[in-house]
Amino acid sequence: MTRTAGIAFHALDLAFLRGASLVVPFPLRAEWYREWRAELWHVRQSCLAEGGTWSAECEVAGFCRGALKDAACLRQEKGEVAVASASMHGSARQCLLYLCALLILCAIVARLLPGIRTEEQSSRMVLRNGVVMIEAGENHAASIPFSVYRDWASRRQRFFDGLTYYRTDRELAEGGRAFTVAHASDSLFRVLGVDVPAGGEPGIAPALISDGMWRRAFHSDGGVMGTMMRIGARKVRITGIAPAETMRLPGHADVWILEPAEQLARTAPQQSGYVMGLLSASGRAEMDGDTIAISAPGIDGEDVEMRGVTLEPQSGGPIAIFLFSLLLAVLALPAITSVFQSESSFASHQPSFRTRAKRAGFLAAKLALVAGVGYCAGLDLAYWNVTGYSPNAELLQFAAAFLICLFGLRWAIMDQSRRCPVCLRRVTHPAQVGIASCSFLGWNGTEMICTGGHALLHVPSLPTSWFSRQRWMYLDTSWDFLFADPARHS
Amino acid sequence: MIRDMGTEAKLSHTAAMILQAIHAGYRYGFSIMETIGLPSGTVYPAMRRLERDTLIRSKWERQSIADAEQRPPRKYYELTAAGIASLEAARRRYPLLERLIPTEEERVR
Repeated sequence: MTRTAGIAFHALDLAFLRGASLVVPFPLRAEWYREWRAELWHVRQSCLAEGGTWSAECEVAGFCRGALKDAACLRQEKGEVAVASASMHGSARQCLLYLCALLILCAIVARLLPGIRTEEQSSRMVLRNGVVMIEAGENHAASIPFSVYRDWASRRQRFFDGLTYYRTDRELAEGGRAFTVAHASDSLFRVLGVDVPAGGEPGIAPALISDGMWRRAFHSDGGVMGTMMRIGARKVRITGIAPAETMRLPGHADVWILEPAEQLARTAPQQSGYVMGLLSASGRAEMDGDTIAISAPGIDGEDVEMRGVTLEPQSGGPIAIFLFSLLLAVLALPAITSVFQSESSFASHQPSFRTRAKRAGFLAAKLALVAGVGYCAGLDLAYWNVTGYSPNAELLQFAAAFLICLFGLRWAIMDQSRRCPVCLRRVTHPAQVGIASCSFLGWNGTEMICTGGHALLHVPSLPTSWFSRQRWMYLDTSWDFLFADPARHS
Repeated sequence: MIRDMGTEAKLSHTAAMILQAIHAGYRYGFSIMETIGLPSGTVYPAMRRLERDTLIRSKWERQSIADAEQRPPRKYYELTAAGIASLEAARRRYPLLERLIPTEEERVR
């Protein structure tokens, strides 16, 4: 048996002991594990003295199995299930464990949702440098008829090395389902700088379907390539999945059909569509920021002023949306909770620097986990039923992430104020002292105690000038007899 | 194993062997287990019960000793006065007990 195998077996034995130690009541756990670990060392020395063999490792494993029985006996004899749960209940470890479990669950769901994958893929894609959308009207609206585009394309261009055109329609496909179909000139992907498989045969146009449609309508079936599909009154052959760059193009088409200019001119020459151009060197020199002013003949032959706009990502993807919502949540947080409501009277027994660092680290870990949950859960909610890019999904992600972060951060801070500064457990056993309406000048509020016996927390029911915030009172050693838990002394 | 206050303790055979092993000088878990030849799942729970009934007590050895011998510290067990009394009673009940578990000195010889 190799040395590596020996190390692996030893690690397995230790892991088994660690697992068995969870059965032992909490107050005895650390010492129990320490003893079994020490004993394991002796067992290994004895069993593996003549070299590591399979039977020797089995013997060691048999020894470790006894640990489980020992742990079960201890638990049964001590009958301290309640103590064990009490020591775990409300502890910092339990809190972080729950948050981690929630984060992992949300992250797994996020990995499984196709819409999130598509959106992330889309946000990473950048259109070829120098491609602009030529617009006559409002932002990213279909504004140029095919006849005008054809006129431009036939002329010598000063600012462009190439032009392309597409228009979108809602059309019915087989089974009565409606899709957004883009009828594009065959120069589309050349201008975008994307290689797509050449296809097409006489009478049958090649079509590319979007990633979202492939998942939604074809259930991610890899055998969809080459199949025939009826869209409107014509048959098309699916030749591939549209490249991710097309996700950024206005219109958000499900199907891209590349057609020769004659076909586009025949079907709807006056229907407005989108025109994109690839800037030439002189065109790039004329760029003013992300726009370029263009003068070109319009429908009536008169020159009209237009502009070319680069198609930058509108939102920056899910990460940018989340970061913005997190920033807003942090800014809004002071409006719904007091951020500085920590202990004010702990001077008689100042916790050590290590304890304070641990407390700060715990708060930071909680905030980070809450933010992580906000990101993943926001995506889960937004893309639960969406398989591709959707402005509504982005809006929903923003709203969900903002709300989860806002109330999650609030919870993290409130929770921190209810945790013992020494052991980080939540204080329990609230006791109401006094009634504000009966003893206005006397102290009234709620008292809670740390189960580890470190401190008492006084929370005033009516904040006054002399007792406005909660206060901690350190419990000295005279309280020890009330707390059997050894963690009290840790 | 039931032990009544003021009366003679009635030990199981396993418990009696453990007491005898500790008395014979085998003072930490693995050496006791090796000596009496019972599995860990029997020996360690029995030692817990003996400790609970104050027939034995345990003590961790100093870290410096363990460091000097390049091993982890051992948890040593020793008999209490009640444990010695119980062992005497067990020897009367199991006459072969002493011969089953020789002392460390006898074993070395």
